[in-house]
Amino acid sequence: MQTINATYPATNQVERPVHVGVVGSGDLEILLAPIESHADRPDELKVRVRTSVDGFDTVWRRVLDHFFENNRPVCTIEINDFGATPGMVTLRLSQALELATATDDDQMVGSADGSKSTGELPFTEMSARQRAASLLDSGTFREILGPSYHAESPHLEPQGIVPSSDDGCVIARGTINGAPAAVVGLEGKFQGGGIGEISGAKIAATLERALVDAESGHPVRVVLLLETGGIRLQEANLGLLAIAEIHAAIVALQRHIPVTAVISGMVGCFGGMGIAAGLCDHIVMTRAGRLALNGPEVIETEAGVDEFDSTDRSLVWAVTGGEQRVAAGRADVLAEDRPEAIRKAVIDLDTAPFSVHRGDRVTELAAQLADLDPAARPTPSELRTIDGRTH
Amino acid sequence: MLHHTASATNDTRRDWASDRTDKTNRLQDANSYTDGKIIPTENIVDVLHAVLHPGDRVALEGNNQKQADFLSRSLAKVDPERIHDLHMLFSSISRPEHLDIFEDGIAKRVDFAFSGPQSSRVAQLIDDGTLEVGAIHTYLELYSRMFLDLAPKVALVAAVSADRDGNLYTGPNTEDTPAITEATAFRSGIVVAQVNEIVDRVPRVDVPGDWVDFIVEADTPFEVEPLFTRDPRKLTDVHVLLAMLTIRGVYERHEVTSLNHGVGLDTAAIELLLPTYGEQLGLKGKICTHWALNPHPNLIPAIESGWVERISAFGGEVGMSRYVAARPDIFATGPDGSLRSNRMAAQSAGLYATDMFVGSTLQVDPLGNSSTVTSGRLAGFGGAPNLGADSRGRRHSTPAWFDLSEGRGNLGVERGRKLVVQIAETFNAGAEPKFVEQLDAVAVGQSGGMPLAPVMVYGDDLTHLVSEEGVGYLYKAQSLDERRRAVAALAGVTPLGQQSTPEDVDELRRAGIIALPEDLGVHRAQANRGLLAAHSIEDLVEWSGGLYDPPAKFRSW
Amino acid sequence: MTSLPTNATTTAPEFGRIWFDLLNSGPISEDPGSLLTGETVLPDGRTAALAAVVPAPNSPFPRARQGEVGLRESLSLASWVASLDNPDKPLVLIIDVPSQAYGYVEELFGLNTTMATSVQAIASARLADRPVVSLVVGKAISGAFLSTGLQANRIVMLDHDGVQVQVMGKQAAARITRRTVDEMEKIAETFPATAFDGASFTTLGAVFETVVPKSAGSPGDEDSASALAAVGRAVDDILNSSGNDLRCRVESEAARTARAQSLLVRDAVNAQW
Repeated sequence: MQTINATYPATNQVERPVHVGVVGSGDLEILLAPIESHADRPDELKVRVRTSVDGFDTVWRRVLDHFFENNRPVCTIEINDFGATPGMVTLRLSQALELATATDDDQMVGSADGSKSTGELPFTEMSARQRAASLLDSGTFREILGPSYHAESPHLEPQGIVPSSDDGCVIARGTINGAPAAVVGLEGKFQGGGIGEISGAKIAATLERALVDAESGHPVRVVLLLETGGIRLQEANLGLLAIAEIHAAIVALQRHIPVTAVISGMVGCFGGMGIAAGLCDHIVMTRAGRLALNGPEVIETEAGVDEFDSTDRSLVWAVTGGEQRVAAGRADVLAEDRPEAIRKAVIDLDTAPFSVHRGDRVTELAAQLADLDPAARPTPSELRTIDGRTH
Repeated sequence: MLHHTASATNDTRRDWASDRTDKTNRLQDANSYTDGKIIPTENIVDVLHAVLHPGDRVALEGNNQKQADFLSRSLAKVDPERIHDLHMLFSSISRPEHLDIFEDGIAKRVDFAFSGPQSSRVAQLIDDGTLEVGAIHTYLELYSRMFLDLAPKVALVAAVSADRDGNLYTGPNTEDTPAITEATAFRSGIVVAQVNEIVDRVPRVDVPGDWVDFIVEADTPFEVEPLFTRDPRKLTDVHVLLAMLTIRGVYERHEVTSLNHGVGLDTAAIELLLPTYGEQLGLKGKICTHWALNPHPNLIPAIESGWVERISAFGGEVGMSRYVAARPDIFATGPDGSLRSNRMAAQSAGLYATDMFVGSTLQVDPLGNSSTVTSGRLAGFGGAPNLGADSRGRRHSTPAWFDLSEGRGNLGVERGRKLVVQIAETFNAGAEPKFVEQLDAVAVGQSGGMPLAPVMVYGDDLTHLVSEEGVGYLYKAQSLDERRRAVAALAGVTPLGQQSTPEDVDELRRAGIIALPEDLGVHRAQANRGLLAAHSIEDLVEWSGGLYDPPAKFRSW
Repeated sequence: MTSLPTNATTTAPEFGRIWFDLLNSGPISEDPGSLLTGETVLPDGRTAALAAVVPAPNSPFPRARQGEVGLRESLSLASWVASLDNPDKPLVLIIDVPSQAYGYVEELFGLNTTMATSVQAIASARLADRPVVSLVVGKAISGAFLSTGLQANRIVMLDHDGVQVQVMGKQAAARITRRTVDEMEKIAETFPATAFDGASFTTLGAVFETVVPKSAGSPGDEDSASALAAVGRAVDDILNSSGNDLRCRVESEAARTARAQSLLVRDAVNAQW
């Protein structure tokens, strides 16, 4: 990991702070914040780059010099880069600058991070921020602990890993169909959506605060957009503890109002967060979504390819995919991979608290398990018909 | 001792039918192992021992896509004491046993066109002297030589099915088989075809039984890989930007109606932008109507949206059979309903009947020479140089071809020119510059003892160069120096790009030799994936109305 | 009473079974399988429910024969916890679980779902004011720990070489994060969250008390007494606290250093809500 700083004399005013991009492979996030002019010191453009690739500071400086040759906004620019090419860097800088200097407010509508045409994208192609915005009622999206709050993990930079300004977790307040809501969006492109101290605390804190509101008679609906491989290995036991607190908070909150998990892919929902999903009284999935405890690669590593051939994509989705999970009752609703469809699925769910939670269905699951012959290697379609239930 | 004078006497001692005699003898040797034309599967190695002689020239499919893998695996089992020093002809060196036979001494010399899947091993075997290379060709070039100086003595080919008379059905993946079998059959060579099954009646005759000496039912259906499928999820905003620049700056500017796309993510982005960006620009019907192209799944949205009139395919594509069969106005299909591909024909179409070639490259030098060859890998050429070069033998004119005419020139007469376009982002994903002072290909050629560096597209054939910095109209450059400055102006912050000055850029823009995105009305910030007509393989399936059957490795449901 | 298995296949001491046998004062459940259940008596005379997930070499599930928490284990535990009478009776969970079960059938059936049932049962017991204490006597790993011991009000931990708290083995973790094992171990020296030993885990502030046994593998009466005393103190602490959530884990003194951000984030979420 390398940090590069550059300062330029600047002249152009910018209208507003801006955030674009994601700290994902081949990509970068840019935080642009206006600096107020002061008479006693010259206007400047200050750029700080943290990049996952070492040895390219010369190239970075050239990219910045080249880009800011003729246009120097008075602002600070923070770049967290995960191996983007200069072409991608230039593109994101263009996007950021355009948003920062735009005079037409319409450009910002419905595009929480400023990128246009999100309505054309499938849900799975949207960033966590875009997904959260698409679920909330139009105009009600309000992010808390957003990029400018800089809730980045203190544990990554010491390990040479470029952090994300939001630690890969978006918390947005707003309403869903008029009712108060909080949407938690995990950014699957940042470290595989792994849960670290901060992202885990964001999720737990959201659920815990929703509980406080519920206990005082004003329940807040929490929707979890779960795009995660589980615990972020680089933070290990901090992630473990955070997930335990998330579990506790889901159980407590659901006594008042169901928690909804949305698992769309392409990362899916695994590990300790797979258990979190298993607690949720509502689970919405897409066909591309996958829900499990252990991923097939992990199983193949631990138990061999005969136990689970993780390269057999049909098998992977036949076992863990949304269609199978919904058909077997391990998830509830199968939705199309479009933001309108996901939003509709979420809105159509009943928000009255369950008397028998998903996690209470022990007898039913035990009866199904008794019908299973583990030595016979049951097929996914056989699971759908266990215990006389057909789907 | 009698002398024979040149003019006077017929040489009555010469056997003018020696090839035919030789063939008859070999067929005789094979007789006890065959049942008419049919070789029982378990007898294949015996038959190979009978019909092959040391030093023979053998064509083995080895196509770009389909592989006669039962025959190649069987060839690898022959006894090197009996069969050795074969001279192999491969369109594509694809399978491990294609090279195992060299290590085992069964084969010694090779002429080929492409070796992508085996490029590292090829480089290594040339290096240690195991592999003797005649030359690396383009596909069309290799078939052409099969009809002249490289006629195969034995051809080992793959077909879907055959009847007992040896009529072959090669179906969607017909590819090179008609060319190879004709070149072999009519020179008294021996054609052996592996088939998935022997049937009473083939759905249609792609290769007549008269051209085929033996058929054998293979142990498994012949291997074929989906080489022309690209997952739209892999396209980034930069791919979209490059595609927008190319559509506006080249396709629209020159009204290109017929073209070939070299397969890759850059061209996939162009294909997926036609129904959206292309539509916004009002270009439907004005560009991209005729294609020399394999059935790219990414072209489905454009086809369905009415952009395409005709596609001439080099080969098939796994998963596209039902879609193609349902679109017979677009694709060449037989009376049986399935696709007929033909690499030789489509390569000829790409050479003479298309206005433009567009492809991506790994490296480009200051004069516009480009190559996909890098150190340690010898991938060959495939079809690109054939498609990506000016067709100087062409005489018919189209608006695009004529548009590149730069006046009467040195010879006092005008001529048109083929558009040859290379797309190159300034840096690749490993943060290495694509714009370089000298192509790796030069060093590779030297260390490999090759007479020429393996250049894919020569700078003087290149008419347009596109990077994220803009579009270069290199055909307008009046001198090598101007060409060099144009390339540098597009080279961003690579070392080569650092040589460009703002004055250079201004001058080149005024001369119309380069155009920046803003000159083309392309806004960098507009470039995002949301513009693509399809974002995933599932979208393509939906566009096709469920007719596209993606292979397993592209499914995520 | 003991519950020695007929075909023990593991070679390391089965700390879970050993400490269950040590502390259990009640009858053994008839078909112990991989879940041992019984009772123990705390120093103040109170009876507490007692359980341990242990290796079951004869399990019908081949991937859950060495102490892994699999489908049966998680459902049995959930069922038993939910069936406990007398809501005031403390629950003591002995933890020695090497991992979750890695298997095709497990994922097909939905191990994430069955593990959620044991989480639900234990958390619900806690929320119904039943004091729950985890006693970590060996391995406490990843999903297995999440679904057994981590919903307890308080965690008591033995201190010996066989105690391990982690989320993934070093080889696998190294491969996934593209580092060497050496690099990871170096990081663990100054970042205890990534270390495996119990003492490092304790620095994170979630452990109520640590007990150093005389003999972890062959504990005697003294070990029994000291463990039960710690458990008793934990129960008292629960009863004297106002909440039945896990808040004390982030508010402990050690957590205020090791998990400072966890508190700050909670404050900020509340402030910006």
